Amino acid sequence: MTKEDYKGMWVFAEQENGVIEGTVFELLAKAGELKAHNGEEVIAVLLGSGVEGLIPSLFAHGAEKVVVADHPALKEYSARPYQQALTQLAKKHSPSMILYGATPLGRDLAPRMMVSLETGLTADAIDLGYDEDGTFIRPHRLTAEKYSHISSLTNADLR
Amino acid sequence: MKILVYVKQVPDTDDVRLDPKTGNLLREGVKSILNPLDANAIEAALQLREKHGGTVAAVCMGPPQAEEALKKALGMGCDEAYLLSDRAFGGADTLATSYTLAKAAEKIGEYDLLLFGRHAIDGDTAQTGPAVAAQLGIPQITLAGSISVEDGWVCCDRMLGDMRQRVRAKLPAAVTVCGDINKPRYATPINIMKASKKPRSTWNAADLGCEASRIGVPGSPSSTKGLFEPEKHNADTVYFTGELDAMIKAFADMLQSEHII
Amino acid sequence: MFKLDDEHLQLQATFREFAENEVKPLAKEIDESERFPIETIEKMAAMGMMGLPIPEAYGGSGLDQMGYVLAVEELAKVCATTSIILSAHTSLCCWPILKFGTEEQKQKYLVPLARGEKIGAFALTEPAAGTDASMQQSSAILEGDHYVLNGSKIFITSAPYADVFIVFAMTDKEQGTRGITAFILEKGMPGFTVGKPENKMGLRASATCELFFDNVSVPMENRLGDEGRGFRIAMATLDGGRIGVAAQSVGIAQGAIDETVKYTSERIQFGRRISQFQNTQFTLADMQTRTDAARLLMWRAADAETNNDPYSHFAAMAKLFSAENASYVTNRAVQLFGGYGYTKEYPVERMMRDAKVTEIYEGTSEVQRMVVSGWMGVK
Repeated sequence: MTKEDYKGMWVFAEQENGVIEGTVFELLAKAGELKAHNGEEVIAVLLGSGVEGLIPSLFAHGAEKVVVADHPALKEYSARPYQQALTQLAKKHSPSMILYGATPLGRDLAPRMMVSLETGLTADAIDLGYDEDGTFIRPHRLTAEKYSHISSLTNADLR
Repeated sequence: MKILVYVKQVPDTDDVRLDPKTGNLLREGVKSILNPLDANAIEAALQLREKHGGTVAAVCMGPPQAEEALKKALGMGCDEAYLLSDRAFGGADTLATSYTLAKAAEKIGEYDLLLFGRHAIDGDTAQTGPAVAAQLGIPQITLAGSISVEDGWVCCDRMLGDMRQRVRAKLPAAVTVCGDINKPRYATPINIMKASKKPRSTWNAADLGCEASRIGVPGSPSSTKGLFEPEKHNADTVYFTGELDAMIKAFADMLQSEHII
Repeated sequence: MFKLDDEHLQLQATFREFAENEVKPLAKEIDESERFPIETIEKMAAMGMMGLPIPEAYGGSGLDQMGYVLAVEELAKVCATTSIILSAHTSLCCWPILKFGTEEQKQKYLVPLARGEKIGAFALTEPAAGTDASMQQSSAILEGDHYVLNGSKIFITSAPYADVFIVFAMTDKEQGTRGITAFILEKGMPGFTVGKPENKMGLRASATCELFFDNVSVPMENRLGDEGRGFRIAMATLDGGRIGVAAQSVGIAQGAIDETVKYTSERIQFGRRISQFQNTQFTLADMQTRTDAARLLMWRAADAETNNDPYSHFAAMAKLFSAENASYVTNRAVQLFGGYGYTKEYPVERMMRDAKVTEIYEGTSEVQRMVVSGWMGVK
């Protein structure tokens, strides 16, 4: 697969006890902005058990598609089952990026996904965008809030 | 119990500035210290050893100077130290770093618990601990504000803002600790003098059996494009004083005039 | 000998970290309130700092003299009071028991002292016996299996908080200095009381008091060394104590220099930082050069003691030079600070007040000169 074969901006729809995490809606909106540049679909990916009721609000907040893994084992967050489920889905659908809110859960899960998908991961991105030369950049907080760190990727699977 | 504590040597960030010409961090003459949260991790490991017996090993990936961080770990009371050093490790992002650190755990073998400081003050990503856990396929607990071990399980209270979440994971597991978890002990004179006799090993990529494509720059999907200082915004602070009701009215009036409400 | 090896560098680093985090924050407050920093003693005990040069077999950390003086200096940089409490306890109380005590005395007193479970003190000075230490008025009369001790002592560091005291008294007035004997006293022995602390110029939190002995019964097994050996025990003990005071003086000077470098690099006058003026630069250069000289003299004395070479004259030179240097450096520091340095907002006025006594206690500078000229053979 080449870089161009990875398509779709995935937003991890973190939920707990049937309530969607606030940052998910911000990420959906942001992905909507990025769509103007990269033309890719905004897709929400939802993990849990008995969570179909949450799907409409994801569409309402900007998801063009929702990928769902609904299974009793996913009822409460635990790193390995969530990692396993999300990895299977990502390998099947090849998104170009997965966006997570920088919540305790997001920070718990994203690094594990980085390992299973062998990709880059930028923590605490405070913005997402495209550089003049078309590189996808994610500025993030570095040291003691004094600096910002811009990263670019060299690999096919973006995050 | 066999505990591995992963430590990192970092610049003392109060000292750090950007070179205006190159845009890189100026590291000249900046003191290097043991990452403060790693000291908390070492303390947690030592307390567990005091309770359950066993050994505590400090593991550090870095250039030869990183030996200083390991000396401090031994001075605090760790039993052995491993330095992972190789030019080929240079430029590694979190993925490549986690691969290398995981290979060290495999080589040391038979570990029960891996401890990490939640994040390093020079990189601040908080990814390394979970990434190493993923490499090894073991469970993880992040943001631990307390830690205890019982019957083959590690139990922690996670610090989630205003809330605490109590979780447990079956050993072997990885835990990243917060600064609130304990007050790290000082390196004591006796331990400093004993440290020179404790087992210390230095391993390179070949010793660890690392695949060249997964370490250092080749193994790093992400890289730094540049560093910049964020723009400083001047914010005007308006102070409201006086009777509570009058203050609320003045505040609401102001928000309205600014078209915020 | 001119460079610290790796282990000593690590020791210095941990002492410095401890001093910065645990001792420095209290220094101003305890000076103003004259409060003995008992919580610091507990923390030092936990670190193994209350018996640094005492062998591990007796509860200590087994360091050489260099390791010990590194701690004294690092503490003195931030708080001269804490430094002398440690130094008096270690050099003046632990050391003579280690050197002259019986095995029973070591087990009973040295082990808890080295562990920091008990605090030690040294009582030689009397109202009529300062530099002329041989003029001991306190008497100890043998009655069967115990001595009866009467008399008083003055200017005893840590007295209200100490548990173990090395006390000197006359067992035979006819013999002069050969009639002085050393004893180990415990707090609470009937007839043994402590007076209230002196109101001093500096080292204000070190709790310096009189001791009163009113027919105190001291068991035979508490005699330290043989009868009549007390004066030699006292002099030998003070030799080591002098190295501790030299280290304290070097620390006071270095602490003052460090504060001054920082202040002068921030203070602006005449449109420039005062550190840009040559007067500031030259004065600081002199202060640092002399402090380095003092440190090396002190290290040489410590090294000689570790190697069991004669060190009495080295200790005297080190104490003489370092103490006078500490007064000089702190005086210059206040001068470079200017008006602000005279206020309690900055620590240099306290350092200047603390420095003065180093020229006086544990043998005045005049006594040190006597030791040096005596060693030189100048008669």
